[in-house]
Amino acid sequence: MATLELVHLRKEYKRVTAVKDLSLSVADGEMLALLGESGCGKTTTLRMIAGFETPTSGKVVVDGKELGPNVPAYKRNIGIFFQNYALFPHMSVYDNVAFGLRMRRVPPEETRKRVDEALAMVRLPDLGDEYPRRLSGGQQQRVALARALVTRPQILLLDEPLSNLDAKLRVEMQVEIKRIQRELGITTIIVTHDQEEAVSLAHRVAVMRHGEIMQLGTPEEVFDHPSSPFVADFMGFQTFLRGNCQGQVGDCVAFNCSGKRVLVEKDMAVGMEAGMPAILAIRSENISVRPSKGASEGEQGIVSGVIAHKTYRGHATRLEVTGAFAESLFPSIVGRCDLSEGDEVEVELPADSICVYVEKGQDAN
Amino acid sequence: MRNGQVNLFCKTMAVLVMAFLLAPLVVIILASFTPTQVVTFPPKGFSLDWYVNAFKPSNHFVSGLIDSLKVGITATLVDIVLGVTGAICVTRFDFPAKRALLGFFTSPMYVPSVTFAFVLLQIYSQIGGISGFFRVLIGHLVIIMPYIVRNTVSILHTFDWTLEDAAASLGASPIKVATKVTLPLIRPGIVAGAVLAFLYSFDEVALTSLLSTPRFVTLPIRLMNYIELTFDPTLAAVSTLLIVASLAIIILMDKTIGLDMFLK
Repeated sequence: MATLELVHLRKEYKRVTAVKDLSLSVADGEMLALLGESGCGKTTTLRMIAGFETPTSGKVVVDGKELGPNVPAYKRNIGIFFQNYALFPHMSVYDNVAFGLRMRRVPPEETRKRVDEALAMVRLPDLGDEYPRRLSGGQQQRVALARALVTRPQILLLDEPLSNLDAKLRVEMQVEIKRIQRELGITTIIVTHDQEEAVSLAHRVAVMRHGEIMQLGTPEEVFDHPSSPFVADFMGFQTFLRGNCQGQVGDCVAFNCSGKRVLVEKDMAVGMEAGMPAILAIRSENISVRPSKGASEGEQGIVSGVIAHKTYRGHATRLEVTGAFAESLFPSIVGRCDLSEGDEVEVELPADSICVYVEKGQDAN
Repeated sequence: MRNGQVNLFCKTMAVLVMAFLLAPLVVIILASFTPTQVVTFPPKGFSLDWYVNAFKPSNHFVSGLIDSLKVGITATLVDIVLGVTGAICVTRFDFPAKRALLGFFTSPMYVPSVTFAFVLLQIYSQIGGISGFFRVLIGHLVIIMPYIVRNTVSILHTFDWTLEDAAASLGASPIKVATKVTLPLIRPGIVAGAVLAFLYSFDEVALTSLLSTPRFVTLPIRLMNYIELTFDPTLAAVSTLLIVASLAIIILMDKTIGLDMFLK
C-alpha cells in the first residue's frame, strides 16, 4: 500500500495541452475520483500515472519515489482497470488473472492459490476455465478487477469502471468496487464523468476541466458547496440566477435578481459585498413549489411564476417555472405531482441552500 | 437470401461459374490417367505411366519442386519478419507518412513483376557472382511482401491496442507483450498472408524465368520448358499432384484458422 503524489504534472501534445500543472496527493488507502467531461485531461493523467504517457514536465511520486521515464509501465507496480476491460481474448479467465503473476515469476503453486483467492474475492470462483467472450459484461468486469488486484499493486487505477454497464448492474458493481477497495485498503484513483459515481465511491473528488483541477474536496463539499458555477453545473445544479448583491440584511445577504429580492444565508455568501454582480445556483430538489394562493407574493424567499414545462422522470417530476426571474427555475418534485403546465405557482427558494458566486464577465467560471 | 430462398437466376449463375472454374481441373485430372501418348479426353483406359514419368530425374520436376520450395519457404519466412514488423509499425504508431509507407509496402502488387526482374537483372550483372537461389529469392522477397503486409494490417485494424497496455501494466516487458499477447492474437492474419505469399511465390513465372539460372530452375519454369518440347500427359499428372497439394493446404487452413481470414 502506498501514497501517491502528482507534482506540477503537465502534458502537452502537438496541438493541445491535455493536463496543465496538476498537483495532488492521495493518502495511503484513500480513493480519489477524477471527475470531468471527456477531454478534461483525466484519462491523460491516469495514463501518466500508469507510465503509458511521459509527462512533459512534473513528477509522479509513489511512496516518496519518483516514477520517471526510466521506470516504464511494466516496471511499475500499478494495477489498472480499463474501461473496455481489456481482457485477453485468447486466454481463459484463469490465465487472464494469472498473467501478472506469471510475468512476475511467482511460483506456480502460489499463483494458483492467489488466482483462486482473487476470483473468490470478485465472487466468480467457478469460471476459471471460461473464455472472456462467453461471460456477461458484469462478469468480465469482475475478472478485470481480479486481474488488476491479484498482483497486489501499490496503486489501483480505475478508468470509467461502470460506464459500460446497464443501470442495475452499475449499482451492484459500485457497491462491489467500494467493498473491495475498503477491504484491501488499496490507494485508488478512479476516473469518471459521472458525478453520482464519484461522490458515492470516493473519499475525495477532484473536479477537472481543461486539464486543471477546478475543485478538490470531500464528496459533501463538492456536492453541496461547489466552488464555481462550472462545478455546480457539473454536480447537477440546474437553476442559475444572475443578480446584484445589495448587502447584508440580518443573518442574510440580499441579492437583487431581475428586480426581485432573494435572501441567502451569510455563511453561503462569504465575501459578497453590496454592488457585486453574482450568480446564484440552486439545486432542483431544494426548490419547493405549491399552487399559487395569490397572497404570499413578497413574502420572504417566495416568488410566483408559471409552469412552462413538466417532464415526468419516474422517480421525480421536473418542472420549468418562468416569469419569476429572467432565467427559468427548475424545481423537481419527488413523488406525486398534481401541477400541470400553465398553472400559476409559488416557488420557495430556501436561504440556506443557495450557492453564490461572483460573476466574472462572460466566462462564468 | 433474406427469405431463405434463392431465385432461379442466382442458382443458374452459381452453377455456371462453378462449371467454368471446375471443368478444366476435371479434364486435367481425368486426362492424367490416360495411357495414350497425347492428352485425350475422355481418357481411353487407365494407366499411371505419366505419374511415373513425372518423377523421372531426367525430367527435373522433382529438382524443380525442391528449388521452388527452397525459395518459397525462405522468402515467406524472411517476409513474415519484415512484413509483420512493417504492418505493426504503420498501424500502431501515428506519424505523417504512415499511409504513404503502407502504400509503399504494398506497391509491388501494382507494379508488373517483369519490371522488378529487369531492374534486378541490371544490378546482378553489375555485381556478378550471385547464385541462382539468391537471384530468385531477392525478387520473390519483393513481390510477395504485399500479401503478408496487407493481411497483417487488416487483422491489426481490429486489434485492441489497450491489450498491450494491460499486459504492460501487469508486468510484461515489450518482448513478452509481443510474444504473449500481440502475436498470438494476430497470428491468423499472419498465417493467411504467409500462405498466400508462399502460393504466389510457388506459382510465379514472369519474374522467376528472367532471374533463374540454368542450375536453379523452379517447378513452373520446368513445366514451361517441358511444354515447349513435348505435349504428353506428364504435365496433366504433375498438375493433378499440385491440385491435390493445394487442396490439402486449403483443408488444413480451414481446420486451423478458418478460410474467412483469406477473404479479408
